[in-house]
Amino acid sequence: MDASFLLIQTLNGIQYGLLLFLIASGLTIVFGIMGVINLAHGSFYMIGAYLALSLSTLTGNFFVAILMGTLSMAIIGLALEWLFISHLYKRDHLQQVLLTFGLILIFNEVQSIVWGNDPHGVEIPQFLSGSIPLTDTLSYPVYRIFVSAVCLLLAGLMYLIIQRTRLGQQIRAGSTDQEMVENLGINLRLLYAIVFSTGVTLAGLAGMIAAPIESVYPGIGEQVLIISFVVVVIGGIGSIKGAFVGAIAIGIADVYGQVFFPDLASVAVYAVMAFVLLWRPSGLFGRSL
Amino acid sequence: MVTVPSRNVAICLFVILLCFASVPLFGDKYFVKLALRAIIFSIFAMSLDLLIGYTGLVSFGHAAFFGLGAYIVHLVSPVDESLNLFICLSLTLGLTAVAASIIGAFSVRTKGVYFIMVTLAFAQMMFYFFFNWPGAGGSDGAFIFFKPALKFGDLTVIDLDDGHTLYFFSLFAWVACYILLIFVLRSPFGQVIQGIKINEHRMQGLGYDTYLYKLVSFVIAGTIAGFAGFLFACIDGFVSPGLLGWRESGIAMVMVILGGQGTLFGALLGSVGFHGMEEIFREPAITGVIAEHWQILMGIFVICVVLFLKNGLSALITRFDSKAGEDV
Amino acid sequence: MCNTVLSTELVSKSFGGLAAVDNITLQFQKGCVHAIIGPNGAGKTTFINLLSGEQAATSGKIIFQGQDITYLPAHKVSQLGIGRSYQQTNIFPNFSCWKNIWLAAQSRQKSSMRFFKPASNYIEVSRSAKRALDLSGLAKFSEIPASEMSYGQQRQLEIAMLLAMQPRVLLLDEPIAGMSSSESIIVIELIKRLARDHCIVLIEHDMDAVFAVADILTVMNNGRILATGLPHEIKNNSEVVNAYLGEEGMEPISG
Repeated sequence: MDASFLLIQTLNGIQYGLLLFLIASGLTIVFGIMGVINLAHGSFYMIGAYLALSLSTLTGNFFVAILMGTLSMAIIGLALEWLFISHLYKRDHLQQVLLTFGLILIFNEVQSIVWGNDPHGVEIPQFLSGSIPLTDTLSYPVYRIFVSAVCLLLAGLMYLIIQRTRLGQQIRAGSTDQEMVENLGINLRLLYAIVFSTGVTLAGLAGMIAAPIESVYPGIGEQVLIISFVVVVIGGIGSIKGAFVGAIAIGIADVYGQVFFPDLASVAVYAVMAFVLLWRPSGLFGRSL
Repeated sequence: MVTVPSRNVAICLFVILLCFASVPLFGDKYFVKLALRAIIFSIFAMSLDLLIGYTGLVSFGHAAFFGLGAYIVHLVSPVDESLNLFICLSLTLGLTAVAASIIGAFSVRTKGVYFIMVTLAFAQMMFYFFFNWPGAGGSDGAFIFFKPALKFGDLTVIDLDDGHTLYFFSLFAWVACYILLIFVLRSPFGQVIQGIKINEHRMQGLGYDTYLYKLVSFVIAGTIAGFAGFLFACIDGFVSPGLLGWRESGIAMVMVILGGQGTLFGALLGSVGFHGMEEIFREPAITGVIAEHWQILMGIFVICVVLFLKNGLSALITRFDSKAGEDV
Repeated sequence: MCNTVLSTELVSKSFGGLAAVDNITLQFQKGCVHAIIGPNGAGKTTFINLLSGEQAATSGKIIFQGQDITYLPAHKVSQLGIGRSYQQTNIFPNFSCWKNIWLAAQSRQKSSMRFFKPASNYIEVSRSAKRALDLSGLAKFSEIPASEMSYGQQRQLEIAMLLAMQPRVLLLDEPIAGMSSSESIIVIELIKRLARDHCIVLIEHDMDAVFAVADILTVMNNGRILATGLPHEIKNNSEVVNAYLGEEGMEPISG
């Protein structure tokens, strides 16, 4: 176990963490601003992955597929917000959990009807399929670097939007003080629709770009959902900064766990969560309750 | 806040239990098993109602204890003979109580959405533990070859391998759990957790260490869920990691809401309603081609329950109650 | 007659650099009503929150009967015998008036970790709840859900719950705000009666009520003590009159 091996594992951990951040940021912001806990968030990741599968076979071009997929996800997000999620504002968490639980059951069956239950693979686009040699024996796949770059780019974009634009100002206000948003005379319906749709799109996009690395199979959404919950809990609900820190921490913990304690790997991330909660019951960057 | 069943509820319960008791007399094997599952899930849902409906703790990981209870039966049962019923049951209850204390000690520190997510995450942790542990059958699950029984020498008093014995044992267990919980809710402890549900901050101001009371409530609920898991493991003598999964937790929640939270007996209505709907949705003669993908219908059903059935099925019974509620 | 029960030494509480309570040193005596007055935002309620353990002081010490309680959680402070009522009605709306008081009385039992005997069979709890119910003049509302009581009655219920806790120190945060005059008379009389053998800390904006019951007055402004003294001293303190009492024309509203 030498340094370059560790480096590769660390890179893998960061790449996985960045991907998690795309998913978790949507989850945390939807809760922070709209007060809605959305279990169906993992399903958007799954839908994204399957869209990448279908669209890339259909168009023959992975990037065209991603573009079309992103657009579809945004539309799906708007439609869902209008149809279901808008009924959940101001309802208690229990009802939100159950309604979105119902949505998961529906999404899973739709997936099984449209795509079947076999696992699929999505091919890495030609010019991203190589590897960069690190030492004589070890190399790092270009596509993984591409994934990290896309995630970082989006994270940076999110940062700019939140810090520099009027929309971002409203989002910041909303995640710290719901009443303030209402008093500021902001068009809440529109803000909610945009925020929710953005969350859906980010999760879908994560599914799309992850599809070539992981195989696409039923149930991927659920696994991602739970891990995203862990990320959000660690970071503090509603905090995007927290989601970023939590995602990287969990990404690295998961990858290292699989390397060093393969038997306990699946438990490692929950152990991290348990310790953070012992220390800070409202997460690292959460407001105390 | 009704903690003693009104007369209407008692009559209804009596009739429902009578129906359940008569199922083995004329029902076929499939139907008896279905009724048995409904009873066992009702115990599971009832324990969740203690948390959701009475303590205000919305746990989304309650299946962890249900599944754990089932797995303990597998783990402690020898492969070549059946284990003494009392030993097996005590081990199951004891170990689930320990697990609930540990998980509860972490989770109960958190509130609201954190609590929902944390309980879910811990349940998922248990799920992966059993999923990856070859010693408990891993992802394939495992069999219990000899179910617990109570024997004195050659005399078999209770053998849970026998379908009817298990059925009536479970029905008895339901009544026992129901009465136990009614007692708990009437006790000072029960009053305190109900106060916590309504206004935890005020309870602290009154001098109650709310963390402790919530934790104990969590442990009681987890132990009863473990008991339900114990019974469930005896149905087919088979356990699988799915029992601890979040889907089971979600189903228990749906049953609580369907039956009406904060009623205890609503769990029975919820469980019967849920199993009934599931049978209807899966029946090709009724739902045609969708029967294969019946979960779509279940999803729609769940959404409708949330949006339109606010107080659950139990409200159909309690609405006829006279308004005067009992009080301490 | 006055022996100190509760005292603070240079207690401060700041929120992100802003000191809401700034180096307060005060003694509260048994048998006295110690009123704390001051304009809105003076830090009175925050100060009470520190005393009751609901917020932790940033620095300083709070001593109750020789014991340092600065960092004790609220429920432990309450168990020691420091009870409080809240500025914003803080009750169990779904429960009947009786059950609200009963829960408060039950809290004085050694433990409520009792699982089998029905709660209603604990005679001593019922007795103490009954006493609080009668003292507060709510006997005829006992079976009514708290949410259906009038605002003034809910404020009375707060006090009844406080009584049922049998505290040695009562922290009253604007107990008569929003009450009708007949209701507030009951409460003021009650405070006077309780003052004989309790230590009472009172926040109140109604100056007539304050001067009717207070033995000692402390004026707070911007988190600091402006003055402490007997009622007539405070009345004639020019600094206080300028800062606070002078605005008496515009009766300060709750907050």
